[in-house]
Amino acid sequence: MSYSIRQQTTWAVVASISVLTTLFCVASYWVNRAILVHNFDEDLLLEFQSISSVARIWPDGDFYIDLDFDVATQYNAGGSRYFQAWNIELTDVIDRSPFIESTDSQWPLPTPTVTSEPVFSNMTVGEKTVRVVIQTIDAQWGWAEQQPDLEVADDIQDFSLVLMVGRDRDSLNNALFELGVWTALIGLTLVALSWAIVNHLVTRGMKTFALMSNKIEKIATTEESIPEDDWPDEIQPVVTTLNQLLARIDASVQRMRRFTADAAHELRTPLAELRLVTDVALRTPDNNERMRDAVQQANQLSHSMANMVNAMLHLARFQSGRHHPPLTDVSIDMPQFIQTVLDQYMPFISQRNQRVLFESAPPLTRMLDTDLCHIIFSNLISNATAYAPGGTTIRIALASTENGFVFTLENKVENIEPDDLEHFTQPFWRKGESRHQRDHVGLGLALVSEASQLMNLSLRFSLTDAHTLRCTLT
Amino acid sequence: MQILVIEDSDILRSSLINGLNDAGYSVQGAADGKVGLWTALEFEFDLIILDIMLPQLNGFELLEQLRNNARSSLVLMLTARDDVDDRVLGLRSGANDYLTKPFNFDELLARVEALLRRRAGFASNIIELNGIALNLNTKEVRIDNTIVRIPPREYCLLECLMLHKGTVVSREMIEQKIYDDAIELKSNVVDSAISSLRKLIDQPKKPSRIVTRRGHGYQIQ
Repeated sequence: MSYSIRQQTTWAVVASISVLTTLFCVASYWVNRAILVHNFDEDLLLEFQSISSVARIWPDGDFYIDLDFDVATQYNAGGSRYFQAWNIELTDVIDRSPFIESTDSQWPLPTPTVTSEPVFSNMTVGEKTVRVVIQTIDAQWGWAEQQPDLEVADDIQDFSLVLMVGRDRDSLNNALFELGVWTALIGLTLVALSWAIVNHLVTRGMKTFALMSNKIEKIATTEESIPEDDWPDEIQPVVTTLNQLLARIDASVQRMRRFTADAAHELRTPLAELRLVTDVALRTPDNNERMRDAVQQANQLSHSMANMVNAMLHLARFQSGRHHPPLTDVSIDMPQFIQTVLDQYMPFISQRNQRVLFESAPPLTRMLDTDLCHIIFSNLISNATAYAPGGTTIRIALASTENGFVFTLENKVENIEPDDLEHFTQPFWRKGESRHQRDHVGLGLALVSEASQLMNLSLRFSLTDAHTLRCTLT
Repeated sequence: MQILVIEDSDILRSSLINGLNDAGYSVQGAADGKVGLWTALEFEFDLIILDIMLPQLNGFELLEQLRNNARSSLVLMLTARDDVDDRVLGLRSGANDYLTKPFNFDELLARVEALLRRRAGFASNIIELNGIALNLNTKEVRIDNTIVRIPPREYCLLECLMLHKGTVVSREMIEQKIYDDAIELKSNVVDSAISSLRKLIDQPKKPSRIVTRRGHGYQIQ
């Protein structure tokens, strides 16, 4: 399933910003709302105090709110302010603002309990939504200014009442509505802006990928790489990793190319021999002896080529990583095994007047694969007999160790330098360019190396002196 | 014509020797670079077929030493290496031609003939002189448009004289061109061959086409 990093990133960031913006807007709304209500209540409380300062009781027990004219208009019909006073027992309404009087009604007490502390409440009366403050207060003495020394009954002097002062909530509601609208608009604008900015930035950031893709598209061979300059810090490691990958692929391709070229090159000589020997024989079809020789040589060449192809197939299988030999506790009589391999090469060893000294050990039982062992020992012995000068001695030793064995093979060599040792296990490597040893195409030690690795054996070559090569297998 | 084959593969070397012998050339072989160089310096060869990847001394080194010793034998390089660089190096080292393995023997033969012809200064495969037409490729000889069958020894002698038409060919040169080392030379073998050839190509009661230059050798006219 395909997906877009740009879309995913944009939506993830926008979703996160939306949630944060929503939280911020809601919090902001509630804080501002609280401030607005608080300010409204402060004003209402001032209004209450103003009204309570003119809530007067008179010596005759008469009580009323003594409004100034300019203040009174706000409480008239068409005004936006209201008050109503109850006796302390809340049994009677003792005064009302002109608007309430004009409706000939009494407003209910919005709260069941009233104390000397102001209590704010909302109430709806008719079509009006009003915010009120209610508190128990002491009435002002109406005579205090004119006759401060007048003797008045105690119940008059101590007259208390419940006063409710209210204001239309319209202004507050409008302010709260505007606050909500603006908060929502700001929130939506922030979300939209964040979407646009994030989308733009991500698109811009993704251009680097498009550029990198473009540069990769232009790579035609594994020898090329992505230019490593001017990449953002985040992309640089990707470019470096891709270049390392390209380098590894190139090394692998070069190895394969070299292997293919070497294989083709190695096959050319036997093919040339096959072609020439048959060409020449066919030119003199009446020469039976030559024809017979040609057929024999062709047969011999076909065996050589088949051996080489088999060796290449073995090597390819070993190197593929898919060959897992069943390493079981096979009882291999190692001395006997090596002696058997050695016996196969005895005619050639005798022909070259070579001598073999084999120091054997008691029978060993190890986790080994018989076929791989045969490949290893036959190739090592075959190489030693082929490349050691005639008349020299080949020394083979096999010793048992705690968990394994040590196999050493020493033979005299000519023209081998210490630097050559590292090339010994490379496919098709041979010292010098001559290919006259048809049975040694340079795959034997490569096979030995791969087979040893498959059995977790360690293969090492060293020169004990300028003309003695030692191979150690442990 | 004397040809030296320096090739480490026994099969290639013996096949080349057989094939070239069949084609009428006198051929020697060498199995490694050192022996090949020694043989090339010790004897005179018209052409050397040289493998590049040789034991002891590779083909490039051998060719360099050959040219340093002022040997002007034609060199046809044989190799399994077909890189342009190798071919350029071979030709620049003094090789006259280059053939990549595997090759067709007819192609090799054609190249050998072309090289020898070029050396002798002939553009065509057919050398004509005074009614004699000798085809270097088919080894066919026509005298006055009639095919004449000529045995190999006499053919080699005729070819040698025709390739050097207009010049005197010494007895030693004839010996070298016609006979390989395996044959023990007798003092009258050249005279015998000249005599046989004269019988085959001369017209009755007319002067011989092969003129003896006393003290110098023979010349075909």
